Amino acid sequence: MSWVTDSWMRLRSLLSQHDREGQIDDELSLHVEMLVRDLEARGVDPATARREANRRFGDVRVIRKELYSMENKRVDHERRATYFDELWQDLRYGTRQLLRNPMFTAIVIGTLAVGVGANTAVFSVFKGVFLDPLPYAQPDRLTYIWHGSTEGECCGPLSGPDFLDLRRMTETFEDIAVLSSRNTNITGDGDPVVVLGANITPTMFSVLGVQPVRGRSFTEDDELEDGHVVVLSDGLWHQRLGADPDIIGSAIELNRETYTVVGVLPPGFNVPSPWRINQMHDVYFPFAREDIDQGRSSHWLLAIGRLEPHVTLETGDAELKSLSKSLADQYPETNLTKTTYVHSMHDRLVGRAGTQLILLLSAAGFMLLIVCGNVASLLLTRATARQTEMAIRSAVGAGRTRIIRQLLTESMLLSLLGGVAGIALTFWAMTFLRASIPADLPRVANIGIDGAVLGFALGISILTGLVFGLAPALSASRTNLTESLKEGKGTPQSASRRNLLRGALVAAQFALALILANGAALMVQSYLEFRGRQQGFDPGNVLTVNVALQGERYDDAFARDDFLRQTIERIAAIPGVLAVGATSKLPLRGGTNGQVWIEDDPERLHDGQGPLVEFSRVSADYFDAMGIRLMAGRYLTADDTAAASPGTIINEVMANELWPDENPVGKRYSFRTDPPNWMTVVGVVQDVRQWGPYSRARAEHYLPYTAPGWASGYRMYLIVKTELDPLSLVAAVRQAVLTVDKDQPISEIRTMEGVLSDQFAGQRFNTMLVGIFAAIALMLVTAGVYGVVSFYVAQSTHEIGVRMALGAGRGRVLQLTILRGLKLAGAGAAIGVGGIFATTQVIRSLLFGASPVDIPTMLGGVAVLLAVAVLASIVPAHRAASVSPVTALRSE
Amino acid sequence: MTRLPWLRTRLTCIRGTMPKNTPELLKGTLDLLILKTLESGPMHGYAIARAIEEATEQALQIEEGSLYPALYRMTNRGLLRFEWGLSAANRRIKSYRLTARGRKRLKLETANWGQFTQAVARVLGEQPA
Repeated sequence: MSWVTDSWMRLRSLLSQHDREGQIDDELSLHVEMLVRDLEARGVDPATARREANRRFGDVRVIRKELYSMENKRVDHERRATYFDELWQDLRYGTRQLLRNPMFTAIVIGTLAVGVGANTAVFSVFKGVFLDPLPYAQPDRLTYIWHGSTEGECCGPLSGPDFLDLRRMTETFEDIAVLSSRNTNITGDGDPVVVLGANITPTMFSVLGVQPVRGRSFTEDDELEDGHVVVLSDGLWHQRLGADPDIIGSAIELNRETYTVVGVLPPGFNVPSPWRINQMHDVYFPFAREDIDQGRSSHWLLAIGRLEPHVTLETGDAELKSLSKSLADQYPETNLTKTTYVHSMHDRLVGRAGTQLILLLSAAGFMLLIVCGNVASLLLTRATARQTEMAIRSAVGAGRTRIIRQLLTESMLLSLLGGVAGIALTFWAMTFLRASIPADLPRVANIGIDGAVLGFALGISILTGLVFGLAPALSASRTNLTESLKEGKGTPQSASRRNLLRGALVAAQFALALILANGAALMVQSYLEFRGRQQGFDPGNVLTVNVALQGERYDDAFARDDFLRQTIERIAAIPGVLAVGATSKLPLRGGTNGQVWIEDDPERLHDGQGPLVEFSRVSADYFDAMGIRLMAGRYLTADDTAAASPGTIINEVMANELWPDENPVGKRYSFRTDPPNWMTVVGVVQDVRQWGPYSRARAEHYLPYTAPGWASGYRMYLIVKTELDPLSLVAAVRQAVLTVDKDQPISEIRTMEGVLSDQFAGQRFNTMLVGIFAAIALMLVTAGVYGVVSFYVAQSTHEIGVRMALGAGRGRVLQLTILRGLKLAGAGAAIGVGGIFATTQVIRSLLFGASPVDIPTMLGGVAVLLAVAVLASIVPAHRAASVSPVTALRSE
Repeated sequence: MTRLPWLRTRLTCIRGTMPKNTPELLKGTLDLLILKTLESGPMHGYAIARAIEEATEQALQIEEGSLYPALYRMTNRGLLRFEWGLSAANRRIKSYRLTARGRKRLKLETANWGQFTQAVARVLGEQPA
């Protein structure tokens, strides 16, 4: 289309619809009138002439309607074409502008990339962990069903009979199934390995809405007869069994017994247990009915329920509570204070992680806002430089909206380029994040960059483009035409307005940075505080491995004792090993507890409410290997087991709680009341934080694992204190175990340093991310102040010249300029302090108990910001102070 | 081969005043007639209708109103452009003229038309009347 016609079209498009239709009407009616006139001229009488004209013309209404719609369609089309033409123009022009200032462009794109990249990376974690629905059919109907007390204690496993009764009676649940995890040794061909197995009731897979992709699921028959059948995970089938296509019906040796494989599950499928985050169950065994139907007071089954369609969680919870009530009436001796709790599976698995990730996302969002402020400042500065250009544009007829659109197109272009660079940065950041993501963050495997994550990146890019582009565009479009063209630069009013805007932007960045830095500082403090705490043991150079003794061979306690004793002896003989011990549970990892009754307190012996204490089963050398100091009495010896009343070691908390102001050594206590099984305290050791570094130490006692009367020694951790790097001895330790039993695998190979470090992984991850965001924020703010003060100096060269001519010294100029930066920082800090108080509740959950408002930290933050402001102002201030008055005055 | 089918016009043969065997206008012919008519210079719609009438000696007659959709469409396609002037009776009147593109199209369509009619004539010539 030629340019002339093009413009014609465009001009026509500017007419209103009413005018366009008027023109069509005029044209058509003129035609008919001319026809009538010619006919009359030929002597036809007026009435006939009109009738004839109408006949020859055809139906005016139809034609008019057709033309109307043609015109309207054309105008729509033209408008769109114009819009895209202009957009294209703006894009080309914008690209040229960006290429003309490659430095500016690179800085802006780089800054944006950091903001977008950080947010996208955190979002991808948030999405993978929290937003994505759980990979089961209709996951919102899935729940965990817990045993709890009527006093509000919650979340223990169900007992078998309770589960069977609830399942039979419920009307709000489509089905309920239970699971009990257990370590399983794969024996037979190849090295023995430990995998996580689980006993399940036969409907577990259908409750989750998943069926084996090969073979079959369990049936009621499997539950009734001990058929030794298993269903395997896809992972195990691939890794251990080479994806053997004839696996169904073949035999597999587990715990030294032979099982028949009846099914293989789809890839990635797992029955999720909130106690075993990120651990896959690889082998599923069917529960035998009589295994479940035992002991109403023994709670050990993880229950998963699927609600009936359209039944809410609350309804299901209420129904099970009322069913529990009727069970309590029926079995008062066991169920009197029992009730059930129903929790959404999604909440339970990822709710807490989701909350923390939202906070991290907000920290990243704060940083993105600072990025926006920073880029907006840069654009404002550039807008000032481009004032003449804008003036010329508006002089040749560009309207204000047109100029705003052009500037917004430019910032969109920048933000999209920044977004693309940000996505590239995200890919890099993800490898870094993956390496530092805490192992206990749920659903780590589901984290990745997909369409939604890219969409998020695109979305925030566009949003940032609008946010940082709008203020400069509005400001630049408000140009006083004559003044600009005359002076070649802005009017004083527009300049001061722009300076105010720029100052406000920097102050806002300061405020945001202060909140972020304060949060980061608090998190670092809290982290260092917890990390520096005494845990009660010496983690240096300690190797731990788990041995889970399984199968008939170890049903005999003496066989287990034999195994452990021989293994410990062999490991102790390895060169470089200083001490070897064994324990049933590692420090910091939580544990098991029970009530005890003390001998000297007959009253408490009979009220049925003894104090609750933690207990571990240990070997005599455990304390030595773990570096747990003896405070009183002596360590365990082999004789302590043999004695009629076994010797035990207790910790200081237990000593103080049970025997305040007394020497506990030699005192006796029992687990049971009828008949009591007395144990004698032989020593007191320092407290170990059994429930993790964030909890205080609780009362705890250590029993020799060989002490009779308890089924113990099945699952023990070997603790190996070494001279040098503990991991260098793993092979030797494994060999020692295999020498004693060639089918016995070792697992959970860790150093105690690693076990300790894992406890802080979550806090470290959060602290690191917020710290990085805060550091970037401070750098951005420094750049922001530097920019504004430099610009101020450049703008007021004249003023400075006058001041110096009137006798102001260098020092005074320096002072004035730095004061300018300080004012911005001060205003920002004042707002930021308000922000800190406003966000206390938000940050609390990231601090693990530290106070969210810490005045010294806050003042420190303010001081840092003011220092940043001074530093950033020094360079431009020196520039100002070295202005020669003569040059300055002449430059006008 | 003909390029005519792209021109979709609304054309009817008007019976009654015409001899019974007045031929129906072929689809698309109207556009060609308009282009040809405007070759001599700018004209308003009414004048175009009269010129076609005269040139065809009323052998072809068109419903005059159907000229306008054709004119608008050809304008939109850039074959014609228009300007507003004053009629003899001092009324605003829209006159159409060929654009360079319209001129090119006319040449092409004329050639096509020649080929088309020859081809049809050849086919008809072979058949006994």
